[in-house]
This record gives sequence, structure tokens and C-alpha cells, in this order.
Amino acid sequence: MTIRRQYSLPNCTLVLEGLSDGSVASQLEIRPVLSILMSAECYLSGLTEPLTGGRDFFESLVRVVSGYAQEFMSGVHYPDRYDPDSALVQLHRIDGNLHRLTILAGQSESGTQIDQKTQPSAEIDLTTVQLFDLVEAIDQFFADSQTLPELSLQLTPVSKRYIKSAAPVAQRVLPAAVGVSSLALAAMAFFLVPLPEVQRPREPVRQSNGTGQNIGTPNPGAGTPNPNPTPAAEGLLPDDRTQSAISPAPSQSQTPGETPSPTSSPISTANASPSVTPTPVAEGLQEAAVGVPITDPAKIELLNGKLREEIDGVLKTKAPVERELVYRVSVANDGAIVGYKLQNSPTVDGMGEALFSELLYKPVGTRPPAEPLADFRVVFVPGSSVQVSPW
Amino acid sequence: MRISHARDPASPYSLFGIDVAVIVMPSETSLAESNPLILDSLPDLSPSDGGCPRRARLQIDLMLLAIEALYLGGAEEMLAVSKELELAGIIKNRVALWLLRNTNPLRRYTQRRPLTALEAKALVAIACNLARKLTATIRQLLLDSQQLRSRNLPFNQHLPLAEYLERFRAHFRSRMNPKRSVVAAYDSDEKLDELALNLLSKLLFCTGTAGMQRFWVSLFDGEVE
Repeated sequence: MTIRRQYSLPNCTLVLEGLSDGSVASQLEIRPVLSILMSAECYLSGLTEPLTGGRDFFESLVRVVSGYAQEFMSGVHYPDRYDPDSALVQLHRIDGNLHRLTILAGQSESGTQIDQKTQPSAEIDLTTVQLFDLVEAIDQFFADSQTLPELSLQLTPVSKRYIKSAAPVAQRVLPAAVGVSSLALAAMAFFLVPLPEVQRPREPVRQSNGTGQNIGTPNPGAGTPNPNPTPAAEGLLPDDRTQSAISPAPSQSQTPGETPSPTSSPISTANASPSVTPTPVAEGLQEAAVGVPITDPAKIELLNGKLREEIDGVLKTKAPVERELVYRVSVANDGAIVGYKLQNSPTVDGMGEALFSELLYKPVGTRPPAEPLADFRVVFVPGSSVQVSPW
Repeated sequence: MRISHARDPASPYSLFGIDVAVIVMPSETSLAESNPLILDSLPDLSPSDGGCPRRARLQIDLMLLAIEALYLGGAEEMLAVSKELELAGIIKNRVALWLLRNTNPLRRYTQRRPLTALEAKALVAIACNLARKLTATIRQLLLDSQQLRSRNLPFNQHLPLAEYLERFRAHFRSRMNPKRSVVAAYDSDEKLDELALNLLSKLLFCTGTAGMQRFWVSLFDGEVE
């Protein structure tokens, strides 16, 4: 007996006719299994004649429509999803809302087909809702385990490999090209950036040690000229200092080629400076006269600015001067103030002294003897800023 | 002495054994139960266990956004449906749902956490369940839009459709990060309307018999090995 199965949707009705395989078990069932398909009819709204065909047509229809539905949902187009060349049914996207269903004339119609008149090639444009009804009719057929149970819904996502190969080479190369070229641009930009100028780090001022020593012990080398050059202890440990005091070894701090007068040693000057006395200032200046003066105008200008900055920085915290003060200041190559002297007044001015004693270089290591120095005229004008100019 | 010997070693072990059993067993059973039956129909497709691909996270959230535009109170309804489908173990509360939806890379407050396969399946189940409840509305709006298109009439001629499109545009603009190029591309009402209608037709496919499986598998097209 013929079994008829119908799946009805508003825009699409799918009618399948066939036979059960005749086994006893299937005949006993209320709803026997349709296992041999004789004809399939697909009624679509807008189409007067149904699409009909045999098993080949029906299998092609379900496979193509199911695959197309997946493509519609994912937006991933993969032409080989349902080998369109060999299929009797084709679906093409026209735009987002229209889908063209094409039925090709069946060449390989199987013998089971009852309707032998060959179906001419048919073409119909389905709206999305019509397409959905067609998909739904097919899904209902798939869900029906009593109709062609060997056909079931096979949903598998398309492999990444096919999609990648579909992307044009230019599109794939573009990100890499952008990356490489931006790296090159960055390298060029860095090439144009000037090298940072290496500045000699200021020697750390470890004054607490030396100052304590000087103040705590009545060091004769500080103020008064001493035949024993105790400044040799400068930078050494206290033990060494005592040793050196016991055994006068003047060689350490002697400036080469100079008179062995201990007063001429710049180290002694610097060492003594924390205990503020005006005497060593003269020594520093004297040394400056003895040492090679700095002649490079650019260097002098640089030191000039540096000195001015240093004085300005300290001056802010000081009270303004009452009268004009002119100082002669000796500055070493690295901008360290190694000596100063008040020029226009015989009396010592409190403000200037306090200022320069703060700025004066307090050595911890050894300064090179007879290093080149530059002299500057520093003028404090009452009610205005400080003026610094080369001597 | 004998009695104490016999009892001492035995008692701590048995106590320990009971304690362990009491503590461990419930968590194991609850883990097994937290995979609801409805999700079993969805195959495991995640390429690696590092969570769902970017397009899947984006697409799920957009579909939910379209549902919200279709139906006022859609966000509340999502929580209700998650309880109904026994997915409350995966989506515990409003904040959890918000965090899951914010795995969409286009969101303003996009989360860097991955969306696990289980969480994605739960969201897909909720979206499809709601879509099925809204089948009549979705169908009608699509048919109406088709008619308007064929007559070259603007969409705002039709009140229900205009409302849907307007709500979708508002949701999209308020929640997506305009700095992302994908979002910036939707710079006109027309483009957003196209997106809204496209999502609407995808929602229609979710309403079908195999809609949930179809939606789920489509999320991984071109993402698997």
C-alpha cells in the first residue's frame, strides 16, 4: 500500500509518497515506516505546478536547502558546501531577501520514479520567509523517524581551511606588510633621534663623614698652614688619618711640579671648606691662578649658566642683600665651585658667605690637582637678581 | 589496652571517610546535573577549549539584542526562560547574563573572559526559545518588510516595523563601542535597519524544528579545523 506523508507550512507543502519495506514489524505499526520513496512533491506558493521528482531530486533538494540555510545563518559562503555542479537543485542568493531556487532537468532519474515526464528546468525566487518554510518542511521531514529514516539532518560547520584558501592573497598579506613597514618607520624615527649627551655624574657629596672629622678634631690643616700635609687623610679612613699624622708623608697630595707648600693643595682647601673660614678661599683662587684657566668660550658660557642656576637656586631661600657685593668665583671643569672671594669689601658679608659655603664643592674623593678652572664675577645687586659674567 | 588499640586506629579513618564523602558527593552530582538536557542536542564544536570564536560571541549577543528590540522586557524574559529551561546553574543572575553577553567584542564594556561552550549553548537555547515564542511577530514583521520593499516604501510607514527598527538602533548605539571599526561602519539608520532585518530573518530560522541546532552549528562555520 502507498504511504503518503505531508509536511505543511504556510508557503510550502512537501508531499512524499512511497512504500514501506513490507517487513512484518513495519506493517504492524500504526504509522509504518516509509522506506521506499516513489515521488516527492514540493508545493511552493507562487508556483502553480509543484516541483516533483524522484529520490535523486528529493535528496538533492534536502541537501542543498539545508546547506543553504546554514550559509544564510552564518554568512559564510562556501561554494563547495553542497557540490552544486552535480546537484539537481540549486539555490543562489540574489540579495539579503531573495533566494533563487533552480531545478535542473533530471538526467539521472531513477527507475523508482513514477512521474516519468521529465521535469523542465524550473526557476523560482523565494523570499526569506518562503525559504524558511521550505527549510522547516525539510526539517520536519528529518525529524520524522518514520519516513526515510536513513536520511537525517547532518549539520557540520565548514572547515577553517576552505575559508582561508578562499580569502585573496592580498588580503592575507596586508596585515604582515603593514606590520613590517611600521617597524621600519619606527626604526627610521629612532635613527633620527639624537644620541643623549652623557653627563658626568656629580660625585656624591658624603660630607657628614669629613665634616664631622674636621670639626670634631682640632685639625691644624684646616685653617693654619701646617708643614705636615694632613690633608693626605682626605678620603681615607680615620685610622689612616692618624697614621698619616704620625708619619708625615706629604707625597700623597702633593701637586706635581708645585712647591711643597701645603697651602697650595686644592684638596686641602676643599677638605677644609665646611668649617667656614675665609682663608681657604684665597687658596682656591690662588690655585686657580696657578692652574690652567679654561679658555674655551663655549665651555665658559656653559659654566656661567650652570653657576648662575646654582646661585639662583640657593638665593631664593636667602634674605636680600643690603649693598652691592662682588665676588670672584672659581669653577672647575664640571661646574663645581672650588673657591670664592669677596672683592669690593674688606669685611665679610654674612649673606654671601652663607650662600657660597652652601654651594662650595665638598670633596670626598680626590680632585685632580691643578685642574683647569674658570673665574666668574658674581655681583649681587640689592633689590634685583644676581649677575654672573666671566671674570 | 586491647580495646583502645582496636578502636583508636579505626575511628579517625572512618570519620574522615564520612566527612570526605559528605563534602565531595554533592558537588559532583551538582556538576553532573548542571548540564541540562536541552543542551545535549547541541554538539561540541569549540575548536579548542579556549572558548567560543569571536563571531559566535558577536552573533549570539546581536540575536539577543534583536529579541530585546522585538519585545519590551526581553532582558527580564531571558532570565525567566533560563530558569524555565533549567539553565539557572549556568546563568545565575542578571549580572552573570550581562557578563556573558559582554563577551561580545563590540560591546562598550566588553569582557576579556572567554565564553565557554556550555555558556554559549545556554545563551543559544534562550535565544531560540524566545524566538519560538515570538514566531508570529517575527513572521509578520518579515512579511511586512517584504511588502514595503516590493512597493519601494520606507520602513517607517509601518508602525510595528518602525518601532522594532527604532528600538534596535537605540539598543545598538547605546551598547556597542563606536570606536570599533565594525560598529563605526553602521553609521546610518539604513545600515542599522538592514542589520536589524537580517537578524530578524535569522531569528525566524531559529524558530524552526531544528532551529537551535542550525543556529548553533552556523556559529562555527569556518571556525573549526
